[in-house]
Amino acid sequence: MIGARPERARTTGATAVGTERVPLLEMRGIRKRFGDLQALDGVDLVVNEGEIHALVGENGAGKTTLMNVLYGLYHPDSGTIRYRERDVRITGPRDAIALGIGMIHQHFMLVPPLTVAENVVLGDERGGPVLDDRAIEERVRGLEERFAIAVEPGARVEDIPLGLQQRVEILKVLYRGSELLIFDEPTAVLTPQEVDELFAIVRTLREEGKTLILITHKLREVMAVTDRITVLRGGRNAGELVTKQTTPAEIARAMVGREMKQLKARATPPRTEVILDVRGLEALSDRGSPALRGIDFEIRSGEILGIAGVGGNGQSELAQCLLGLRKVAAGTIRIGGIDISRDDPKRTRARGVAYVPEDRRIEGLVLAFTVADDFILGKQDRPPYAANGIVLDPAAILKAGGRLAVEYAAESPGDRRQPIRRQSAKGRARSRALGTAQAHRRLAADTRARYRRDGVRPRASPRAARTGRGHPPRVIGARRDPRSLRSDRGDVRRSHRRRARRGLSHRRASRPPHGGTHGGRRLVGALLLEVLVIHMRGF
Amino acid sequence: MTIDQLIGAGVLAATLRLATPILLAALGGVVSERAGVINIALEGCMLVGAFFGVVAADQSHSVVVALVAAMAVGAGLAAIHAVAAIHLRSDQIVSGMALNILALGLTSYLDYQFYGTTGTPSDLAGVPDIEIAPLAAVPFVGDVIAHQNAIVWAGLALVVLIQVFLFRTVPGLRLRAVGEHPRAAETVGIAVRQTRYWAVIASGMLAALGGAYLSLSVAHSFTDGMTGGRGFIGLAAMIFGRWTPVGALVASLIFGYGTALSFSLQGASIGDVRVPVQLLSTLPYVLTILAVAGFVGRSRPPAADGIPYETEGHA
Repeated sequence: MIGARPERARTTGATAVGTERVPLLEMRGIRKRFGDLQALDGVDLVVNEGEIHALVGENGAGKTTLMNVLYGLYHPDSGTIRYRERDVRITGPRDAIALGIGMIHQHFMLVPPLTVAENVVLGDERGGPVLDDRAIEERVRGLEERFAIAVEPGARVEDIPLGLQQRVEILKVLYRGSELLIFDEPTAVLTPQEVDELFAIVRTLREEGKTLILITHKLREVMAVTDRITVLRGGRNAGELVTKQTTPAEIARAMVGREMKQLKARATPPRTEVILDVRGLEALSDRGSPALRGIDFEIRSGEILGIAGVGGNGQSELAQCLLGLRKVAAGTIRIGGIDISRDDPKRTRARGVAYVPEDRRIEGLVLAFTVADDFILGKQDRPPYAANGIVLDPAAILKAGGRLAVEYAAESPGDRRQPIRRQSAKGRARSRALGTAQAHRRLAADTRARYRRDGVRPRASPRAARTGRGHPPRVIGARRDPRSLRSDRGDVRRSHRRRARRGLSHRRASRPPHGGTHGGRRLVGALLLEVLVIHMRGF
Repeated sequence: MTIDQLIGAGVLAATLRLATPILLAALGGVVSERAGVINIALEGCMLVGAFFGVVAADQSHSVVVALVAAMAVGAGLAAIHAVAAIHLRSDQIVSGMALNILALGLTSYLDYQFYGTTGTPSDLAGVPDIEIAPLAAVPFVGDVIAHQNAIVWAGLALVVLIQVFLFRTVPGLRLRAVGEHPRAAETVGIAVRQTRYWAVIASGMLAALGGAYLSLSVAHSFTDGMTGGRGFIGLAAMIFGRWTPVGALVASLIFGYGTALSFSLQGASIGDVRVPVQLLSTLPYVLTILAVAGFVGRSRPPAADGIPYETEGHA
């Protein structure tokens, strides 16, 4: 079934470009502003019928915002949408669905305890008020056969893996008769094999006459399945390319706005003493099954260690063990020769270990706190924040937050007295402007030994995975000599002045500059804040 | 102590009688929480149902009018909770508790105003028992079920009805989806808030029916705070029964049996040792604590239970 008519399909995609063919979807001059962040600044998107259209761009380029406009989740400030040669107004998902536009959400919109078939038909059950399980399962099975998508209709969604759950999402959209399918970062949660299976499905869909928009920034995937490419950069169009006539380098150039610098490998750090030494580490998962089985590694002073693997293979548990958040079942974790595997986080941190969690909204920060209060959490019982160990000194707290913000050239997003949750897109974008890579470099300068944990994160590009750049990182740093901080801070201050000379004041940098990696800057605003918090707390 | 005192027809008949108000509250809890709203105002709904059932029976001398009135007032109280929980997104426990206190105060006050000196009238129209003549002669079975109250049977019928509704109908599927993943439900065009409103209101009506059962079928009068926490025990039965109507029935029967036992074992002794009835009468409450603490099997509430839903109405 797959590949039955590849010639026709490919021709469709290729000939569409440059001919006078009437497009299926035409978005013109779409503008959308959040606070004082111009997320979309007059974006055009033209998608032809029967093609697989890639929508690429760095994080913050406006891809998802544009698609949310198309799906009716956001209302544009200006611009027009034409669908099948008619001007349309899409005020909500229901309008989009009625037009034949379907979205495969990055975070699946599935009800876990319901069956696959129930999820597919939910909201559009047909056939009277009585639920006939067998009938809907048959209907879903028919749909599966037509599009060569295999999932057991009677299985509960909570019991099937993520790759299959995504198929359920696709089936949901197909069931509602969608002609234009939007895939929002569809490969983010998939294993490599699941990605291949997804692409087989994607090609089948095209052969069945569907039109697909693929939001991604993984160039390998763009080259593998798409027909045409629209590149966004900083909320504007940055190129429209035909996949067969372009190269990954050209796409990357359009995405970042300049030639990609070849990343040089870090100079090998001097192989000096071992800072962190993990031997035979074993730990259980939350469910009580073995999560870590005999982990051995060591990190020397000045090193960055990457840990790779598909998410859920023990990375989280490992990081938690290192910090003392998870009980170590067996093995040792030595810092500077001292076993810390039985220590609680407070004692571990006193030894100079810091932790930037995967989701800082859950683990790292108390969102209801002000930025300044979050800064001092963990040191709240010490001078100068609490002179006598009990009564807090708000002035000192605020001052300390401000001092660090200047020293690290990373103004905290927005007002330090504002609770984090309430901070504007502006503030977040401002922090994002600094870029992940810079944050990493700063960290590398600041501490002697590093532990870096990368699961295969949703937005990681292969390059980023290799080079350790452009990830939302988990960083665990071990500092032995607090005095070295002083000179590091000097560096940072100088870099801050350089930025200021170039006119990159943080107040004005409300959009990410078009530099850095294409590997992603997800949540960097919060990440930087987290880094500040770590420095406040640990060092 | 005799076998009769443990599983005699009298004990089992009492079990059914005592389980019914708990069952009705539990069913209310199932409907509401399956849709994602915790309704601890069930206790209050029972109480107003019990009181206004008596008032309506007194005024109209009609059982039907009395029951309709009781359920309407229960629905009204639940509607207040629905507005607070769904529209105003307030804390559902606090809102429910406030309404329980309101119901207690209101019924006590009005009871005093209406019947303060005389007590509720003794000639109240009561909900009749259903006599099943062919069964009456059958030994044991007849004694257990041949003379049960109409609301006992209604409660059993509602178990079947709600079980079928939740798991075999389209509106039931949508209701469960709303309680598990409201965002997903909304993306496929289900009106989340509307669904929750109806669920909470229905739960108030069920609990009020349970209250009216207490005043119009059992006691034939109203006394202050006569529900005595049965709404809360109903919630425990709901948890015990894993948020299913049939489970709630089983749990309610266990609770009812515990209470029935504490009556039938009054003064009984094993050998020379007297059965500590006071201890036995705590059985339903002990079971409640065990149920709530999760000691009785794995029970998982609906994923969005108690979490206010905010629509994506931003930007």
